[in-house]
Amino acid sequence: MAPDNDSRVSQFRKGALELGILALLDRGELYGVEIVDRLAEHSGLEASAGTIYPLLSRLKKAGVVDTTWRESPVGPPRKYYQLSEAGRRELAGMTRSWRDLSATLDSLLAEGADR
Amino acid sequence: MSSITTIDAYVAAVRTGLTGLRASDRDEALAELESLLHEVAERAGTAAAVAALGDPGEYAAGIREALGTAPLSEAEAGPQPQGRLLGMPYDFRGASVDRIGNRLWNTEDPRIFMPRLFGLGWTVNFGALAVKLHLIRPDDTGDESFERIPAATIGVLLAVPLVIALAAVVLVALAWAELPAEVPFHWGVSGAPDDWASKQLAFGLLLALGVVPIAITYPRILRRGTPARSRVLSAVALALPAVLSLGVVMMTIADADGGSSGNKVLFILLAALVLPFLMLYIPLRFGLRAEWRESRVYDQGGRT
Repeated sequence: MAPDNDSRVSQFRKGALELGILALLDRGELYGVEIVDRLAEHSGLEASAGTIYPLLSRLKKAGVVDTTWRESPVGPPRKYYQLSEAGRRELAGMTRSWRDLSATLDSLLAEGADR
Repeated sequence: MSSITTIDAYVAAVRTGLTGLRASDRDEALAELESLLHEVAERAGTAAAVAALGDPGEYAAGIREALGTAPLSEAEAGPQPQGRLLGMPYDFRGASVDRIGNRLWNTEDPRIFMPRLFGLGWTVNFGALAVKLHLIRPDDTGDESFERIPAATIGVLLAVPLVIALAAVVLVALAWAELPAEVPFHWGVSGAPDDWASKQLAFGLLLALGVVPIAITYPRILRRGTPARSRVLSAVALALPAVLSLGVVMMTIADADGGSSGNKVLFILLAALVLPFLMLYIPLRFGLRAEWRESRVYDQGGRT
């Protein structure tokens, strides 16, 4: 069964979001709300908490990210997310795939524009 | 099911579980299943292949979920006990308790009302409710929190639906001799009874609503090695029909003389919401605190 167009777009976006999260975490650990906020600073990567938390939980189950409880200056402890070793490899692999794909598409689209 | 020993029988059982799917989807899924079974059977033998895939009803449910048609399936999949009760579809199969349990506490999903409650039409995602009330963050509780709930707390949780369902049985037993042959069976919007049934039928159905799901589910979740998460969520899922059963039993007994003691449906529904919420939130708080203690971090007070 071919997925319909909406689900194809959302699959595509999920992949991009995942890469975005891994890239953010590569610079340092973040807690849930920070991830949502940081992504929102990047146009095209804005996503609701309802999208990001399930994604984080999937990444954790897959062993791509680890979590650590840290005290917060106000309120209850926060769960911080870090890239695991597997996460670093995943990020490197995804980055390569992304660059290849985007280079291919860029040149394809440029040919179209030249005509 | 252990009675199934051949590939054909297994495929046939899964086919039954897929009733109502588009024929092309069903045939594709079954063809794939059959070739998978033959492949495994070649290496490990037919019995092992059939056993490896588990209950055909659950396998069928998995296929439906993968095809995105799960919400339609629960009332009609598989040969296990299910049907209609008081006009509402019900489905108390073991596997469905787990599936519904997962929807009862899903803090990552912001939707509070999820489709289907325990085969009774709707589900409340108490996790989303706790997040909305700013009691916890969406990623605070996970499997680890369930695992750290003290054993004694889980014991209490497992007793809750049982005690409620048995209270309904005791109430009916005590009142039985005094009850008229016909008792209220349906109430109008005003709260006055507008339909009656024999007391055997009315109380039989009401008590079954509380007791049957427990009798079906407990032998499985009391087994050693059942994850804490399954136990807690099952206890909560079972408390819902038990509360409904007890509430309507009390209402029926109160109105048995034909009078109306006022519409209590709202109270019953409220109890059916508040109790499960507390049954989830309080134990998970214990679990969360245990996680924090292990990490040597503490709540600094106030809210973020």
